[in-house]
Amino acid sequence: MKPKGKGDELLSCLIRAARRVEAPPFFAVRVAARAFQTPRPSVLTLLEGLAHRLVPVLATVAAVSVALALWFEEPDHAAGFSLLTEDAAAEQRIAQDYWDFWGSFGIPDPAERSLENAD
Amino acid sequence: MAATEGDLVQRSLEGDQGAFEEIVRRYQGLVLNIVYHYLGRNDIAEDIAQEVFVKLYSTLSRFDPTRSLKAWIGKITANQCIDELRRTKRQRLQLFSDFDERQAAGELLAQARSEQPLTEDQAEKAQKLLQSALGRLSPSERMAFVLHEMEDLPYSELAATMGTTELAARIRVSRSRKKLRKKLEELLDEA
Repeated sequence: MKPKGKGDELLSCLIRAARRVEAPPFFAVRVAARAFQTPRPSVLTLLEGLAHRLVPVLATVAAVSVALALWFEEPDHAAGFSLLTEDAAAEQRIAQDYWDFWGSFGIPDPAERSLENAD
Repeated sequence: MAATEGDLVQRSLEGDQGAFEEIVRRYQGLVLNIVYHYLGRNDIAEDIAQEVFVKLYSTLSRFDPTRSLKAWIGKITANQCIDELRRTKRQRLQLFSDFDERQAAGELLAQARSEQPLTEDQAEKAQKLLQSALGRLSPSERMAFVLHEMEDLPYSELAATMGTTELAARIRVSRSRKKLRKKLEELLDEA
């Protein structure tokens, strides 16, 4: 058998020395009485609990939906999302704004650059 | 003849408070000691044990009498302890901040080798050292160690309590032992 290392020796000593907690007198009587006073959850209370948990989730979903609806009310925002659709005019306008911004730092629109190269 | 667990459960469900008292009496030691060793706090062990039994009573109708009641109670206790640990994590970390672990480890090993019983002061140090070492394990490893090594729960019941396989339960206990041994060896080397 493999000899015990000092870590094992100390661990066994600690387990042996581990304090045992005794229940105080009448613990069982007290606890049983309390348990019997606490009503067992019925189906109704379980449903109530479930509803209680669902309310914050539903409220968050509703709040996010309203916020998104309001956000899309703004024409610019809606135009931004039209990049994902087929609104070519809005897409071009946004691309123009984008390259105007970078153009102010000296970074040219690659589309224009390729036109210049073609010339 | 002592009533079987199945009888006690059935009678409790029929409203026999005495039967439920008997269940509490049989398992109060188990629950109190799991709570105490897992959380390392005596001051709240009784309150948590009480919650465990109230929860046991409220879920008793879902208990499958072909299974072990001990494992069922162990599971409720483990869940209650983990909830409590989450709630009071910060307080626990500061519990033994002024305790010299290295000095205690050296002293306790010397005493164990001398085969003399521990003095009251040494028993107190052993308790703190054990709690401090257990605090370095993950919650599931700590629970596996407490249930198997300190409360003698066999691997089959440990697996049922922790909702895992017997092999996984064995691995958790073995891993926790290894970690504790390593930690204690480090302390002894530094002492």
